[in-house]
Amino acid sequence: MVGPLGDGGNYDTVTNLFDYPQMPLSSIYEGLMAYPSGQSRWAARNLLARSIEKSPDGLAYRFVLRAGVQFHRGFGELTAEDVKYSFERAAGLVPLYPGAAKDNTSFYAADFSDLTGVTVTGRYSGEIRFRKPFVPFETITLPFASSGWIVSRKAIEKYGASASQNPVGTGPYELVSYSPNSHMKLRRFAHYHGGNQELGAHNAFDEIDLVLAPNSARSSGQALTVPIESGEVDFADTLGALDVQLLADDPRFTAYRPKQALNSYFLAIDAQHPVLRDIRVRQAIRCAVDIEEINLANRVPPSSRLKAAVARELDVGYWPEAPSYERDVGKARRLLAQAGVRDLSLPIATPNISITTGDPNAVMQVIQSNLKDVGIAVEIIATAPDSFVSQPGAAGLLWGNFAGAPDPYFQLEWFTHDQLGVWNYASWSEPEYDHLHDQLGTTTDPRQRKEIAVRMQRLMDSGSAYVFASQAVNFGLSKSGVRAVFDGNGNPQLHYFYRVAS
Amino acid sequence: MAVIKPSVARDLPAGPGAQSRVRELLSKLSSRPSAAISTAVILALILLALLAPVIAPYDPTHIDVYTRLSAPSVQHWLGTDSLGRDNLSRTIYGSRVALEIALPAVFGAFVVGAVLGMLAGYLRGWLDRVLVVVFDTLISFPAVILGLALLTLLGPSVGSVIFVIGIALVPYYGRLVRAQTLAQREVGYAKTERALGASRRRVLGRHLFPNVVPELLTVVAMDVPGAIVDEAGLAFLGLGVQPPTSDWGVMLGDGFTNIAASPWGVVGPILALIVLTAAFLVLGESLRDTLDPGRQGKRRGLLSRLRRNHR
Repeated sequence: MVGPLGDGGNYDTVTNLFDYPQMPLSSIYEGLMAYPSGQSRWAARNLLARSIEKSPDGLAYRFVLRAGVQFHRGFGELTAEDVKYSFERAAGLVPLYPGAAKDNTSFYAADFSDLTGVTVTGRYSGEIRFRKPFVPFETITLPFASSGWIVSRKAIEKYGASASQNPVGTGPYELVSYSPNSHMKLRRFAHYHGGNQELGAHNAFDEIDLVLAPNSARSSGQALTVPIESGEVDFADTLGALDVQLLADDPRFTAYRPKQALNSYFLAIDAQHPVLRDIRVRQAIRCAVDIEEINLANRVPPSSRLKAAVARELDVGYWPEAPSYERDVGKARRLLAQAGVRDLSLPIATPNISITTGDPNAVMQVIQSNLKDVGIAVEIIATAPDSFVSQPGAAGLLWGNFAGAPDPYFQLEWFTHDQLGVWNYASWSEPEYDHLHDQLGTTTDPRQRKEIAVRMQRLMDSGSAYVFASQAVNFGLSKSGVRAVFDGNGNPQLHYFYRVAS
Repeated sequence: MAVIKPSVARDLPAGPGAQSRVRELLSKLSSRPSAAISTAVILALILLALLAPVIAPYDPTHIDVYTRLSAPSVQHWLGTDSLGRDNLSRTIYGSRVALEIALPAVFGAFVVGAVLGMLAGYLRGWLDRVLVVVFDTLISFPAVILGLALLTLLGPSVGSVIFVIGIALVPYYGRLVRAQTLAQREVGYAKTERALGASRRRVLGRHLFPNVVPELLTVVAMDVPGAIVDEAGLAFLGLGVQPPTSDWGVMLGDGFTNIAASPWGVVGPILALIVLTAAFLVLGESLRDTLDPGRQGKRRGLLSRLRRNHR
């Protein structure tokens, strides 16, 4: 038994709002490729595909499927038609289900940027074509994103609007029952093709019960630890760091602290705020905050310090020379004096605090204390109004965290002009950055991609609107007889879990 | 028909010993050890609040994450909280917030409730009917729900919390004062005053007010700890005063979150709440026994008192 988990309420591959790749979806669905769990390197392997080849011009991917792969609930064998349907549905080229409203489309069409379509060339083979090269298709969409998972066309056509409550995949576990905000039961799929075992999965448990709670009501702190402490569940993650630390030496439990290397914590300084528009004020704030103290308050180890948007765990895009800003109160004061700023008051908030991990309240109090030392009064807003994000210039400071994916294109996407009012919390915009981001999507040479990504991070650094603090850590506990396994970004993968002698 | 001039009416005595009752009350109170002790404790806490900057060993907002959740030591007598702030200093400063909010809320509510209750009870008629409906409507709302709704609208701040706690108390005081006023307006001296042509203001201010209000000081004294607990509860829920202000409710919230790692975060605010609540309850009880000796021996149990104070 696992949990409590936030119940997303939607288990469709292209309309769910889970962070990548969240349990239990990753045990129900599969993609043509996958990143094996239990490894920190991001090396994709074939899963449903027996082979997949890119054309020399980078515009087409030809695939051949494993034969004999079955969908759950008797929906028959996986064919290239299902791949075509899944990808064109995810790209928004066909309706979500027969009769779906026109505006009811995939949330993740951007994962298939400029897809023209999928051509079926045989029962198990086909060709995926793009108008222009889109490299993240190989690094994110195919092996990582839920939008790249294959659905059963027959199942979607049968369930229609309720397909989101009736996930049908080819994965090692099939859904047996689902009671919203209460529980979900998975059973090992009797006709599973066994392909994930080549990647190291164990599929060790006959049944997996998941305890669900409403996302908004999922408590934090010790309440999350109580079910595992009481023996009700066998595994729980996203726990409080301190709670896990306290139980780490308890022989009944095994503690986990996998690094969520692609996730980031950062301070966003609203670049369109009337006062913060002056870059010297933003630089002053960057000098005034104590990142080490912030990370300590947020309960992430010093080794998780992040200096720019792309972490060192990504081969492409890491900027090793990124400046490490240490606290310099004198410099901050000088910058504020040069900008002629006195008696500045700023609000700070965390957008969507209920899903912000770590300890945002503690962090905001540290920032409040840090900035008080340079004469900036910070008011902590318990619940950020929507305008803080949706209206550039309406916020002051925002403490945020983003979930990541293994490609710099994704890691750097949220700071473009298109993201103003959506995810670009600092409302920072730079035309060259946007242009480079487009290039990053279409450039295939890894060395060139690295140069582009580093250049983008330099631009961000010059803008002084984002101060990156750290990667994240996923604190978890299992009973000592169960060993949990995590993917390269610290997300538990149930089908990799296995038993050990306790 | 003889006409008595207002100047003659002004010289009539103000009710049955109204002025001397205060002196008598103080004299009786001072002879009760429980009253003296509780008064001393309350005064000590008020002094603590006033002199917090002198007494507290540290700035209560000073963060030192490197020493967070430390156990009591020579440097930090009550340990430190999750951000390394000194628990003792925060408890001392927390008394300021408790009193800054509880006293204005309770006494403000009492003044408003007393004025409205006296007007309703003395003038009767449509004003009485309207005010009774308003009081009953407010009382019918569960205080917590009313408080949460108002704070959501007003936003969390010291002023909002004072207003919210006060508005929840006003109808209780209004009802009590109205009932007392209805009883007092029919006693001989008040009737005589009215017959002699005394103005409403004179009858209300000189005769009814001094005879009605002291009876209710007991209730007010017993409501102060209730207001402090209410304030701490709202702060615990994140709807009271905001960081970095030191507040017992905020301390309890933080302390309970980290209680498995360090129990010291809750010790200060819990002790402070117990001492202050007990002091006000004992003072209120002493006041009641002094003002209404007939009730001596009919002491209510602690739980019923707590229930009364924890609406």
